[in-house]
Amino acid sequence: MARSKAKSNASSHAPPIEWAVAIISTVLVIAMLTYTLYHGVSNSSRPPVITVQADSVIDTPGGFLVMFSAMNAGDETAAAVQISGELMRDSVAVEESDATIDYVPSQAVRRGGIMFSKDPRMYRLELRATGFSRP
Amino acid sequence: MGTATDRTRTMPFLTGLARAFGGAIFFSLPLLMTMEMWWLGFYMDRFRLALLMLAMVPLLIALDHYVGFKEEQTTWREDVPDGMIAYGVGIVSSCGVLLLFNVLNLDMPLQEWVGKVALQAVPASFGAVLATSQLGGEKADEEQRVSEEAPEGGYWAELLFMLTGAVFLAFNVAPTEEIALIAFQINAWFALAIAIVSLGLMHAIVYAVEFFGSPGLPEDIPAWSVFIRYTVTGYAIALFVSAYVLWTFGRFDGDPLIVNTMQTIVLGFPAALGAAGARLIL
Repeated sequence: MARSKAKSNASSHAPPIEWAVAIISTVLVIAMLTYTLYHGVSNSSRPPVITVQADSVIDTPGGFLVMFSAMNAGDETAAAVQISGELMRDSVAVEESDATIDYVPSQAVRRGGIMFSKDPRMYRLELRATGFSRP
Repeated sequence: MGTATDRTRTMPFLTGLARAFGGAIFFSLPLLMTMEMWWLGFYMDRFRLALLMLAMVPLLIALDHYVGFKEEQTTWREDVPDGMIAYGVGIVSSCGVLLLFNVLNLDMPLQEWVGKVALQAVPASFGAVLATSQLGGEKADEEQRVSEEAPEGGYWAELLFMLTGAVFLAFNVAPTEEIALIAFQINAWFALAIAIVSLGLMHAIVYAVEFFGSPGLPEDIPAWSVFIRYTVTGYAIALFVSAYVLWTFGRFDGDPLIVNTMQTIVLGFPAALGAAGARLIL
């Protein structure tokens, strides 16, 4: 092949910067590949385990907005995650509201908001995930 | 090694590198702006992702052997480092654009970063390799065309280009829901029609239509031989690529074989056009 002849001594013609870039690239590829494989092996495929916590309460013209974060401690991604919030007084739900998050990947945190007409600070706020689908 | 010669060698390399980045972003931008690709990045099977990354290495090196992103190929060739550089460029450019769109941020776990970037690096690194062929000057183009038509590389190079074109187009369409939706909407007769149209268009694009860069029908080889060796083989490659990409994206999971086949034929349509188109462009 015409090209192969020129190639035989190509390595001696390559400038140091080319080798540097090539080595960085190779390290990058191997690192990502190794990490992905490691993650695949160590993954025990636990289903999504979602915990929800309230971050802040904001007064808005449309009501009281509770900003929350949903954390997935499982190994699988949860899709269409339904978050329900209840304002409790003496184990009686005074108000209920809900929100949906598209995806909460494994080990990731996703944020959202949930609206109440009563001030959540006056009650005990219970936030939890009520369901999800697999992507 | 003197500084003067270093500089004369370094500048073309940097120009090639810049061109590779341009090609990577240009080719992968539609997918970088596709949300299904971001989602696949974190939920797709890790082993399938690793297999995809692994398969990219020989493919990029082989592709670089025939295309490459350097101007002076005679003195600058070294396929393995070049293939890896193209992959590296694909990774870095994908990461940069995803950061720009806030699709990646510091709140996200490392596995989400790696998954999203690894997936986007596939079309992006193709773009990096093809940058010279697509965005390069007239001179580089002509040199390549001459060498590609040399009898040695001929048939296998053609198959490689078809494979690359099929992977690229399949990648662009497969992440969307529409492939499954179309597969549900059609029956066997539609699938058969799609297959026939795919084959016909492939054959027409490459041989019947005298586009620029078309190899043309060799005089002494019968038409049926060309049809079998190029068009049918190319379509088989397109179907294989479609099935592989659908499986990699988890689109086959839980569906009966008939649905998988339908999806493969549907995705085979763009993949076949990609395969045929790549032979003209590359």
